[in-house]
Amino acid sequence: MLDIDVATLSRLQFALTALYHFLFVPLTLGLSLLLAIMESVYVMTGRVVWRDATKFWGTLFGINFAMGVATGVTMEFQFGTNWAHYSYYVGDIFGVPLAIEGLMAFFLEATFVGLFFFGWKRLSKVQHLAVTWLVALGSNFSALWILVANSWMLNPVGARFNPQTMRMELTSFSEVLFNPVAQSKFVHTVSAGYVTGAMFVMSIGAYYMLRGRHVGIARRSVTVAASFGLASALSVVVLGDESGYTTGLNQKMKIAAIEAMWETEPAPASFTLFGLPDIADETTKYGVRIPWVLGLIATRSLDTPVEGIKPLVANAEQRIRDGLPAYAWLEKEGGGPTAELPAALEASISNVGYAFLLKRIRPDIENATDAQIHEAALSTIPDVPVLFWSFRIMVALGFYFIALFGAYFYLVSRRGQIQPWFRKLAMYSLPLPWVAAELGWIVAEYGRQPWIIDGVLPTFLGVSKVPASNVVFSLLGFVLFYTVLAVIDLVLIVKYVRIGPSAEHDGSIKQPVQATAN
Amino acid sequence: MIKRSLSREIGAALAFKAVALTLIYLLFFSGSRAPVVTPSEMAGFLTDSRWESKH
Repeated sequence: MLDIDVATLSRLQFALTALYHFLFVPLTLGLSLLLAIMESVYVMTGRVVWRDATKFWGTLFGINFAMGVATGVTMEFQFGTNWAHYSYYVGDIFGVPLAIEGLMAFFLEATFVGLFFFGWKRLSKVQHLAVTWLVALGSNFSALWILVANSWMLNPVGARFNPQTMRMELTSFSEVLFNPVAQSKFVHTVSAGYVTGAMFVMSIGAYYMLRGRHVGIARRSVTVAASFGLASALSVVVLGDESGYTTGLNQKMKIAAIEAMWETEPAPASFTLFGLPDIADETTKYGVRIPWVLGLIATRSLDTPVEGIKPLVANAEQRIRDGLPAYAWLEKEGGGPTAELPAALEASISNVGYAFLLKRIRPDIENATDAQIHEAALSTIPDVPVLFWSFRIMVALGFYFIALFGAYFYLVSRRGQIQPWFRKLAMYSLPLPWVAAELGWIVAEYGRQPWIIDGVLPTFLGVSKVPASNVVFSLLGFVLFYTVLAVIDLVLIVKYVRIGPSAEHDGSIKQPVQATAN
Repeated sequence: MIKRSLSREIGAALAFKAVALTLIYLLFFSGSRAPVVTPSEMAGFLTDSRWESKH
């Protein structure tokens, strides 16, 4: 019925659900930690205004959590139906951290979120504080497992291919868990979540200050958010640099594409701050370059060159050729109960993923011509302009956050007069951490293309053999579902921000009055 | 009052979400719709020379 590529539709559907789910995740990560910090101040000082601040931001956290929970389940629906071959091929490895994440999210995180909301009158101060910290820890641990699973797609370690079962099998769980890509990605992602939480509190606090409402809570919240945001924004940049280093080690093509760097950059490699990548000419026009910086980010040295797209394509071409003998063997023996890979093909099997790239061009890949092998090698180049710009906008936003939080922190710590325009700037900056986070996701995952498992399995070979119409209809279902959910979420958040902390909780009423109100 | 209203609204949103997710699952992703992959099917999928890029 529809002549649309199933792989493209499945990718579109997955991207939509992942991007949507990721609107909630960073705020949960950041706000949960801010709640724990505010409640800690309450427990340490005994000042009720901090409890009220925790309760108010906890209400917004609750709305975000309730709206976000289970929006990621739809991705797991898709693994079995749209990505059956991917799930089969790597399920043995990918499924483990995914299952742990599911258990953590539903049992640890959700249990303590429930206790957070319903435990104020049932638990002692310290017990409730412990629960709030466990909410924050639970959220962060959930993120760890999902990023361990995701990072394995970028750097598949601790696994080997079994020709009898025709799938990747786990050889070392510790290698998967301590995958350097997972470690750097985890800390970079959670600190981006902290920036989001801090901006959320600072922007809404600035909104109240501008209107002279709930000033007691708003002033304190903004102070905490500005300092926490500054520390987090600095961490994002530093840890992003670490993420750049692990990418430079394991995903050289992604680094070259982010830099729009066609030729190998001699040491010490310079970083392109700005430029206009020209795909047709394979050049970057009007490039503004900073000496040494790329070498330091990608190699941590001043004497190691950074490979460009063209030599990496030549390398991919060689790996395609090297993978063809293993492919020919798999064609005859693969999936058989007695299939045992000959020792002579050990090296070739590690390149069979590259040989699979030819399947996009012709089915009988053993007869591929030199031109077709070159064409398959060219397909290893991700979308250069999208990566180039996404990365630069994300980084620019990172530095903007440092400046904004830094300036706000300076002003509140000096108890100086904060101009209304500056509060407005903070208020209108609210969506920017989400923009940065989604761009970061695009750099990481769109930059992984054409691979679903880097160097192991091309994306188009991960999809199921299902009619395109199936994916179209489920995609439409998701669009409808997520649109309704997004509207409900926005309406609820805006409504309860407008209401603000309730009269007895706005921090401006003195204790005796509060006692009467209670 | 506000608390009760918020609980009602979140409860309604969660109920909507549960119903919508169940419907989406039953309509598009239930077990019967998930293709079964075996070692020989996987081998065929990856190496079958009759494989077409637009399937």
